[in-house]
Amino acid sequence: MNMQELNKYKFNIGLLLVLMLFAFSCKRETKYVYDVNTETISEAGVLKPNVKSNTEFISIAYTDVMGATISSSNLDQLKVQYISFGDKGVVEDLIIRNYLTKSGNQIPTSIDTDKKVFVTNAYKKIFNRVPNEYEIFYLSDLLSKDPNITAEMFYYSLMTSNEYRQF
Amino acid sequence: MKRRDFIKKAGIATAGAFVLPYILPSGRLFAATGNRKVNHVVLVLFAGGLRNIETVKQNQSNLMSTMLSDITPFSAQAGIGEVLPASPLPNGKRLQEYGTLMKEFRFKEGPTGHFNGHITSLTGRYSQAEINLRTNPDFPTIFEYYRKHNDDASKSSALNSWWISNALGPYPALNYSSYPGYGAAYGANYIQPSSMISLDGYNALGNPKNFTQQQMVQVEKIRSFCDANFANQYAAESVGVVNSVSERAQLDAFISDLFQDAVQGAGYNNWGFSSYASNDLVNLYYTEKVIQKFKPELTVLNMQDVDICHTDFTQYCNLLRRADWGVSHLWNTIENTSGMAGDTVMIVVPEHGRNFDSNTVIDAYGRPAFDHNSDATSREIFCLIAGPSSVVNQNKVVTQEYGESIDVLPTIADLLGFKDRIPGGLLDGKVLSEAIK
Repeated sequence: MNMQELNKYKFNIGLLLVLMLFAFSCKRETKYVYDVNTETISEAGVLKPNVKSNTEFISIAYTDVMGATISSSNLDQLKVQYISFGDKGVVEDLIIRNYLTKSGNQIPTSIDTDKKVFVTNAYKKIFNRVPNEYEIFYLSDLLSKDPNITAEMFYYSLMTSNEYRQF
Repeated sequence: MKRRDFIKKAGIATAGAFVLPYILPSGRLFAATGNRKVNHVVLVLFAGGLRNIETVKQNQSNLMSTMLSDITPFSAQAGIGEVLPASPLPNGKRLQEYGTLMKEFRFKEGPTGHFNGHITSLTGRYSQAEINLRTNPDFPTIFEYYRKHNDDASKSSALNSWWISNALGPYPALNYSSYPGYGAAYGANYIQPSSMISLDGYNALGNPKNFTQQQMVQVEKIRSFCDANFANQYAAESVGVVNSVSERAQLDAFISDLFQDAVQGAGYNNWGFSSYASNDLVNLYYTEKVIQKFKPELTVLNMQDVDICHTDFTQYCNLLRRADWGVSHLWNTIENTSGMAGDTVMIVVPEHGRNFDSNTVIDAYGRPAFDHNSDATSREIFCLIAGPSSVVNQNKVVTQEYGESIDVLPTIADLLGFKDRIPGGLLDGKVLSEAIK
């Protein structure tokens, strides 16, 4: 190889290196955007900061069980009973259980085959909200495992819980 | 200083340094370990406004002939001649013979209003609350003192203290106060029987769905799950007295029993009265039911029928006679209830009196009516304390002016052994030592 060829060879090698430098040294960065789907989440109770008044409790419970509005005379009678006893927990429990024995009450007589639907419907009716996934899972699982729990027992449980006393 | 003296004084000083920090505000080195005189007290607020003129002075003859010895034996008068059932007390004894009668007791301060008078008896403090009805008292009630300062924590259940009123209105608010550190957590169980155990009450509460014990276990599982998931831990107890789950079950059964009793014909219908028993008698009857069921350590009830005196003096006299009979019946029940007999002190005291001068109303028999507007006569009342001879002076009459309304609470606290635990400065009254040994 003469000197001229050697120089040409060196030039080509250098050019290749420069081209490789341009070819591999910089690369357009791919931008990834991470995000979450829009989901509505809420903690039970956050949206129910107010305690129902005695009158509200009695009348709303009547409507939830009977599917009708309580008459004013019936409401007045129940208000008297409500204040006639000191432990409101005892009276409220008695009021609910008396509603459950009234003819024509709207509480389901049986639990749906689809327990998740039953739980969801009960929550909508009594708590006026959709249960979250955890509530659906736990309660439908409980209902599936224990066939002795009746629809009446389930609704009674919800109506005597703390959440039912608020709105 | 000799070595021996030095060691002695140093020892005393060291002991003092250890002991002084433990001396209680009351000045006692140790908390009292229980110096009860009896285990049960029943306070009868013979309320509605009674004049000493018709009670202990017997100006209309003895209208309280089961409770008080005769000055002037009862004699029938126009409109006042109902033949009452025989005295409930054995051997012709009068209630005052079982204890001490203080004839010149006083409601010394504050308006002579019913609610105000009740507050004074229940808090041991005179009050101006007449214009502020339907609110809890500002100062602790006897129920709260009892439950908070009881010498035996196992007995501080609300089932052991009851407030039983013969009417609603402002009276449900008297089972606990708004005083810091006391309140509903130490309140009494409350019942107004004539409203609750009634036809309306039965229609509303008398036919509940009953779940089996096994079902209730499952119900509780669901309910506690719901409560655990609920951020705002509201509980109904926050607006009333607290009972535990097992106590609530007892109360539920008790209410059910009362409805059953009413359906079958309440026992007061068999007491021998010719007409419907008065509201006072109904209240006394249900007080007896509470006593027989729970044997409370502290029971307070009131009567108010005699307040008809605003418009009908003759009926006032008639209802006073019935109330007198009923109080003796209550005492007889106490003395025949195992666990209460011989271990109960009963205090009977009106909340206030009535005016000396009549108003303008004349009843059907020509008798004038009387209000209660804080004149001197409306502050004159009596107090009768009955109990075991080992605790209460028997058959004693105090005729001079002695005792006042604010003394009732300290006396109860002394009887049940928690007086010394009540923080200083809350009570001004004294123990009625003329009656209590």
